[in-house]
Amino acid sequence: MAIFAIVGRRLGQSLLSLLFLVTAVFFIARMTGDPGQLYLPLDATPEAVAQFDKAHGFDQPAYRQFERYAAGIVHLDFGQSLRREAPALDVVFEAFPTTVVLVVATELVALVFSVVAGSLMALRPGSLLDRAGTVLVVAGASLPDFWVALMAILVFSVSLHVLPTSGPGGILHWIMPVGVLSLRAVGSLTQVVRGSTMEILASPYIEAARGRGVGNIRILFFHSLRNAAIPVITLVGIQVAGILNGTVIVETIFGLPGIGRLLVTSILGRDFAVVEATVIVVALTIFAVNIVIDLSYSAIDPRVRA
Amino acid sequence: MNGRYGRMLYRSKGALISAILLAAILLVTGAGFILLRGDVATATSFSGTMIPPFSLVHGFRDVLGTDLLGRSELFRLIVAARTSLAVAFSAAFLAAAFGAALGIVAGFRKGFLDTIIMRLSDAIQSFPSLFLAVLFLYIVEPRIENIVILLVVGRLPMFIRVARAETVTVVNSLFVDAARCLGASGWWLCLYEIAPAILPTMLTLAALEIGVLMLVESALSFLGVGIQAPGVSWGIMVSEGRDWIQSAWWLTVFPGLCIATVSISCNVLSNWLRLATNPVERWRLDTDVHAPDVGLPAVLPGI
Repeated sequence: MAIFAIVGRRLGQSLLSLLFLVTAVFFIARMTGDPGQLYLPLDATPEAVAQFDKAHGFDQPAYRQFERYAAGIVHLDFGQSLRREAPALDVVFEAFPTTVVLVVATELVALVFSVVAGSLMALRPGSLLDRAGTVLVVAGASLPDFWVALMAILVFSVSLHVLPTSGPGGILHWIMPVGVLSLRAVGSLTQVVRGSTMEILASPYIEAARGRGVGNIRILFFHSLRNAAIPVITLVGIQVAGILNGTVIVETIFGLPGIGRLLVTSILGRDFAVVEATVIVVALTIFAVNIVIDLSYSAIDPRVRA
Repeated sequence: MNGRYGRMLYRSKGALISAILLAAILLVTGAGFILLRGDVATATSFSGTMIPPFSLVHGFRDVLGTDLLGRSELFRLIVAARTSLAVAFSAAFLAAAFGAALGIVAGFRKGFLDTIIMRLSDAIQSFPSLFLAVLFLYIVEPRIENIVILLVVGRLPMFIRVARAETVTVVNSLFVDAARCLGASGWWLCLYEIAPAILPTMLTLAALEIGVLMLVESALSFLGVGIQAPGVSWGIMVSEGRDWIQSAWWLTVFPGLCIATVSISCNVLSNWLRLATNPVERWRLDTDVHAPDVGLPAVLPGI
């Protein structure tokens, strides 16, 4: 039953982080200025600001406001979107699927690629393949993603005319966004797969398998992969936050109507209710992903259950 | 730099090239600081707009092309380097200093303080930093100091985590015990025994982080929430060139290449530094014996 204790503790910790985040968002937003000015367009008259403050209770003391804010969140009420005349939460959920597709597709591409490449690299350290992989790892970690996206547009759309530049649509519209997003994920994942596979390959049970005449491919993908998977899964969990960072850029450049672009447009359009709702929905999603990851450890490695 | 480090640098090709590239960029930026007048980056010339690069017909000023207003791409790159490098270097230095201090305290004192520090850094790390950055820069003015503060807070958890892990191992070593037996206080142990021992690791991480910070800063500028328009940074230049990507590719390609060069060089140098400052691994760089596996560079997830 240790697994419940582990998950329970993680749940508590994540919940603490979440509470901290929600409170920080509220107080940073309130302490740095008049919320009326934060919510309303920059050219709003002082009277309009005062009226707005009164209507939304911003003229009351901060603790009363926090009470209202917290109560609203508990009831999933984040207020109205000023630009869209709809509840902020609906606006966020409209954008949510696009981002989920992006993140899941990216993680899948990255996982498949890095498991194959990383394992083969671990088999022969120092080989040509290993060196080529190293270049890819460094490039993935060091190239600015927004620039890679623009270069991809320059090459594939402007010069070669093979892929559409932007907008949602068929499968062709997803190739460049997912490709750009995968680059960074592939870099760090490949490195971890390589490292953890190398460690496993040195263990006695692999040597025993080799002694019985099991082939390299079988050793890599049947014998070692399952044990090498634990650090990889940990990294996948950490990576979700990094990929979400990437979606802000990629959705903006490729014109995909997801969470990242919503955040940027709501901020430029001063739609604070949507901004707050976005932050909290993203935080909750990451919270859920972390719990799934914790549970998957025990599914993959029975030793964790003991 | 003593002879040994020079020799180790000379022997590893990637690190040598990275060091030369970084030194060249710093040198040109520094020279530009002294030689270029204040307005060369903004000086327009309507007789020569959108000149393609690599032709000297219009003189050295336009060797990397010009934009729609006839501003020299070369001079803009050199002036923008000041902002981009200053932000990345100062943020990396501050994050390393504060991160090391907090990490040492957390690892040395353990207990309640440790829990608080680690939970806070977990909270920061588990959330997409760019979301928080965009949010924060919406609330405060996007001035350069605020951007540096934001970057420091965002990257702090990485330094805290590494410093704490190192401290926990160092604290049990014999030389710390010896100092303790000689009557050293907690402060003394942290400052004169632990801090010097974890310094190489912190330097290695800081070198890597300069590259990461450069990426984050340019991404913020690109999104329009970082350094604002009259100022120039490489990220802003990419963002401005974006509208002309079909007709004037050089406006996006060159600033992006600058960001990539600094970032890749920092990554490679950081990996070299990790080996060079580690007495156990150092032989790999210092002998003629072919070392097949010097390990991959340290890559940290996310930005």
